[in-house]
Amino acid sequence: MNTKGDFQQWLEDKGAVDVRFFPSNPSESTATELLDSAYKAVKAYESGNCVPYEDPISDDNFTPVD
Amino acid sequence: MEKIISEAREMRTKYLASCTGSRQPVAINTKKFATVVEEETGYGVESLVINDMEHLRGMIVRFPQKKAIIFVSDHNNDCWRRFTFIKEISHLFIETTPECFNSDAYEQAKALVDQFQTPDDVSPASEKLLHAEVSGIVAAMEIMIPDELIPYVAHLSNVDKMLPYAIASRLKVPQKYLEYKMRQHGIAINSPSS
Repeated sequence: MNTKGDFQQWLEDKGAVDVRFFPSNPSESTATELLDSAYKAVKAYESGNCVPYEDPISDDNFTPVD
Repeated sequence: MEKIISEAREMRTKYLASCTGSRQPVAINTKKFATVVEEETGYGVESLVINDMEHLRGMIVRFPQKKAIIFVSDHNNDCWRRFTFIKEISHLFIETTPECFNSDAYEQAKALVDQFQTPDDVSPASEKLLHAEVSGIVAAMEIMIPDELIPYVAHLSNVDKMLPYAIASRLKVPQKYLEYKMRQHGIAINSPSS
C-alpha cells in the first residue's frame, strides 16, 4: 500500500508543479487509494509498463445536418 | 463556469478549423485535439495508457518548461478513455497561471474524497481544488458534446428512437455526461416517451 508520501515525494523529486486527478468513483475510494493508484501509474511509466494513448477514430464523421 | 465554457468552445473551434474544415464531427479525434492544444498552449504532452490505476480514471502532472504527462487508465472503456483524456488536457488551457496550480497530491485527493464523506467540512482550499476538477469536466463536455450536436442527439432519441447508450456510443462519450448535457437543454433522452 502506498503511503501519503510516496507519490508526493515522486512529484517533488521530479519537480512537478501541478497535479490533477480524475477519480473512478470518489464516493467509494479513500484519499490513500487515489494516491496509491497515482503512484502505481508513475512507477509503471518509469518502468515502461504503459502504451502511448491513441485515438483511432476518424474525425471525418459528420452529422447528416452538417 | 462561463469563462471555462467559452475557453473550451474557443479551443474546439480551433480544432475544427485545423482538422475538419470547420465542419461539425459527431465525435472528435481526441489525439488530434491534443495536438491543437499543444500548439496553442506551447505545452509538450506525453499521453499514456496505464493498466494499473484502479481508483483513477486519469491524471495529469505538469512540470516546468511546459511539459506535461497525461495518464489514462486502461480500466476505462473507449468512451470514458476519450472523455478522461480531454478532461485532463483541458487543464492546460483553463488553468494557465501558477496561482491555479496544485502540487499537494494529498490535499487534492482528500478534497475529492471528502466531498462525499464530509460535505459540510470542505475547506476553502478544498473547494478551490474541487472547482478545478469540475472545470475540467465542464470543458470536456463542451468540447465533446457541443451545443451544435444537441439537435442531432434529440433526433436520434425522438425520431430514430435510439437508446441513450447507443447514442452515447455513436458520439463516443460517456452516457452519464450525454444525459446531463441533454438535461441542461431540457431534453430527457433516457425516457422512451420523450
